[in-house]
Parts: sequence; C-alpha cells; structure tokens
Amino acid sequence: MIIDAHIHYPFAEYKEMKDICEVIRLAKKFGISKLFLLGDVFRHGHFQNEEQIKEINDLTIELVKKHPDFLVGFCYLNPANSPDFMIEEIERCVVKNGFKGLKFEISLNCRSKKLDVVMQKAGELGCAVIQHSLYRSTGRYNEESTPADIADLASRFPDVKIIMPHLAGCGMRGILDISGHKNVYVDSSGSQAVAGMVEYAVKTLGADRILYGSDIPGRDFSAQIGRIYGAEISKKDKSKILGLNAVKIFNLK
Amino acid sequence: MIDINTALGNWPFLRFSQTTPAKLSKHLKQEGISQALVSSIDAIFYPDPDVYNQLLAVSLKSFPELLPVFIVNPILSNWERIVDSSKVKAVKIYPGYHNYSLLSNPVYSLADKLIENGMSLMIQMRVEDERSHHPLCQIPAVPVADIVKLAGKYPSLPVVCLCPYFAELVPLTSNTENVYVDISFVETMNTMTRVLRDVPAEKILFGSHTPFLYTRAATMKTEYAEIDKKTLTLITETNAKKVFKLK
Repeated sequence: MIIDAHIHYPFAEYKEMKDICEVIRLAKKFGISKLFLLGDVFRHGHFQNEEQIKEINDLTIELVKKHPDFLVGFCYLNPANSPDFMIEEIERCVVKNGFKGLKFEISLNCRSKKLDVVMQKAGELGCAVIQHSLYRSTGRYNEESTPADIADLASRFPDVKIIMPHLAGCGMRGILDISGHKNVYVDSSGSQAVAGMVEYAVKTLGADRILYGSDIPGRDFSAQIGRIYGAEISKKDKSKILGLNAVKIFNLK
Repeated sequence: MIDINTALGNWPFLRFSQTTPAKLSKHLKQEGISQALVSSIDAIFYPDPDVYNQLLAVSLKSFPELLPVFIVNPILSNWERIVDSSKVKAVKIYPGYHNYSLLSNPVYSLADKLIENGMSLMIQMRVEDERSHHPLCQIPAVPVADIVKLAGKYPSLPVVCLCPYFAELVPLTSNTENVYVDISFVETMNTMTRVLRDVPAEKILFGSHTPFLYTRAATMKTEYAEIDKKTLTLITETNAKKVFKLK
C-alpha cells in the first residue's frame, strides 16, 4: 500500500494540467492508492485573503467529492486571516467535508501566536497540521518557517500532530530540531532524492515518524518513490513510510 | 543501461554507502546498470585533481565496467597532460567549484584540445541543490547562457551537461546542436514524457548522480517512462555509446 501524503493541484506554472484524472492515472501506475491534496497553495501568491482561501478550498472540496476514494482533502489556511474566518473554514472543510487536516504554507511564521486559535481547533477535532518548512542557504521568504520554528509550535501544542514536509530540504539539522518532539512527523516530499537522508531520519526519529510524499506536480512519483525504495532500510520500515504510518496518523479506513 | 554520471570518494556534507569500486559496481549492477562513467569526488576540492584522477584509475583497474573520467581544471598547468592521458573520450570540468568562467581562454584552449583528440566535454553544472549548500560554502551553478555560448563557439565539440534542472533543459538544447543533458536532476510530473515534448531523445543521457542521489530515483524515471523502447534505448544506452565512443 502506498499513500502519497503531499501533492498539490493545480499548481503555479503547471496549470496546464487541467484534469486531476491524469494525476490519479499516473499515481495508480506506481501502486499509489491515496493522494493527500494540500491545495493550490500559491494560486494567489503568498498572502491570500479570505475569499482567495475559500476559492482554494472550494476547488479541493470539488475534487475530493469527484474522487472520494482516492483523494484526501486538507484545509489550506493563511493564519494571518481573522480567527472567526479560519474557524468557519475549518468547520466547513474538516467537519462538513471530511478533510483530514490543515495546511499552512509561508503566509505566516508558525511561531506567531495567531496560529494558536487554529491549533486549538485542530486539537479539538483531532486533525493533523502540515506546516511547510525548509532550511535554505539561499535565503528564505519573510514568513517562511524553519524546522526550529516547527519545534517551537510543537512544544506549544504537544497534543496536536504536526507534519514537517520536505525531508531533504530540512536536512539533518531539521531532523535534529524536531527529534525531541514526538508529535512531529516528517514527510519525504520535494527536493532531489539526496542519498542517506531517509536512513538518517529512520535512525534519528524512527520509521514510525516518517511519511512518503512527493510534492507533485513539481516533482515526479518516480524519483520520489525511488528515494524510499532505494534507501537501505528494512522492508518493514519502507512499508510504514510508504503508507502504514499515514493510515495510523490520519485514521484512514 | 549506461550511467554517465557516477562518482567515488568523500564529500564533507554527505555520507555515502558506495565507498569502494566493488561496492559501487555491485550496487549499480543491482540497479540494472551495466556500465558507468565514474569520477573522483575528492578531486573536486583537492588542489591538483590529477592526484585523485590517478588514484581512481588505479582503483578501477579490476572493474572494466567502471570507466574513469578525469577531472580537469583548465587554469592549472597540467590540464593538457590529463586530457592526453585519458582513456575515456571525455573529461569533466567543475567551473563553479574551480572558480572560472566557461567563457575564458583556458576553457577555449581545452575545447580546442578536446576537438583535436575527438573527446567530449562534461560540465558539472552543480553537485547539490543550491538551497542545501553549506551557508559558508555556496558554489554557484554554471550559467546556462555560458554553456550555450561555448557550445555555439565550438559546434564540433559534444558538450554534456550534468545535473541541469528541468527548467534549464530547453534553454540548453533548443538552439544548440551539440549540447546533451543527463536526467539526474531533471524532475517534473511524468518526467520523461514531459521532457521529450521539448528535448529530442538524441540529446538526453541516463545519469543517476550516484552516490549523491539514490540511484533508484533515476532508474525509476526510465523504468516507468511512457515512451517506446527505441527511444528508451537511445537515452539509456545508444546516446552514451555515441557521445563517449564506448564499445
């Protein structure tokens, strides 16, 4: 069983892909049975207003309704928006439409107390939060979070499951940052398939805290799954990373 | 399958599994790779790359499927001797790491010599994703525009670009006849099908960038490619044989 815990649709310059069916067709070819749809997070730039956020989530709702057995929805939010709006949007996406978690990108650094209201709501609903983060030596976006910022968020909300995406981009420093926070998991999505990173993450965090993700459509299922297949870890750990952990963390049927 | 982009040695920022020729050979065979071009990683930073070129050549003697590609720094006085001593019909350069421009006299002299010897020029555009470089060791990628200009100046010199990004493929290959690219860093949705929309198959070579990247990440790009067998064979074998004059 393979579950891809990190895809976007459509996305920036890839808007030429007008049909999610093509993504699903390709996913099935690789043995993937579910895709976590995190929303078109850059559709309106980095700092979306409430109407723009609703539009992004409307599209995710529509797509999940069309492919309920394959797509798992996530509610995209800009934590700088009003608390009332965010709570309403979480109710709409998670409670009414069965989304499995929340997604934050780079609109607000996750150390901000503005995240508190949504994190509390996530805790009440028992849904996980996917918070983008990266260590990049070429300079980061103003509000972009680092793994150290995620560690801060995790210490403030130890009962909320937090997914830190981009294993290779966060690097060994990022893995060490969150290693002591048992409520933080890492996904393998994005960047080049840098050798040794999966092994390091398994050794440092344990295989139970790692999820396979691709970051499609900017990336490819081939190289991203190849990263897991090519890692020198046990078959059991590969199975956990490729799907079993996602089932457990997100209570999937 | 022929892998044109592999290496052996130590790198300060990563820890590799394939640390010896025997381990590399076994690993590549397991991945379905029967022949590979191999360079020395230590030669990148060592002041005289030929010290490690020679150590590599000796270490590969018992592994005929692993062909040593020498690294040349054209601003050092021994570049011509290294070119002449190479049994493989190519040398590799690292303009970013060795801090020179492709559009400079030392490179022009090297290009002339390679043409004279019937050899190809391999340009390592980058070794790692620039975003992940050590903050105090940020090495610039080789500019695409410089490669295009150099290739245009020497149309009979095959120029093989290693580790270009997907977005760099069209600028590299659209107006040049003699520029080739490897697939190690190339990635987008349905990679090979998408790439072949813009880049002729004759310009694409299979490269994994082992041991920096998981070899399987590259082999799965071709294994799952939605392309005909003839095109696939061009990319994984025929083009490499032609460009590097391999048997």
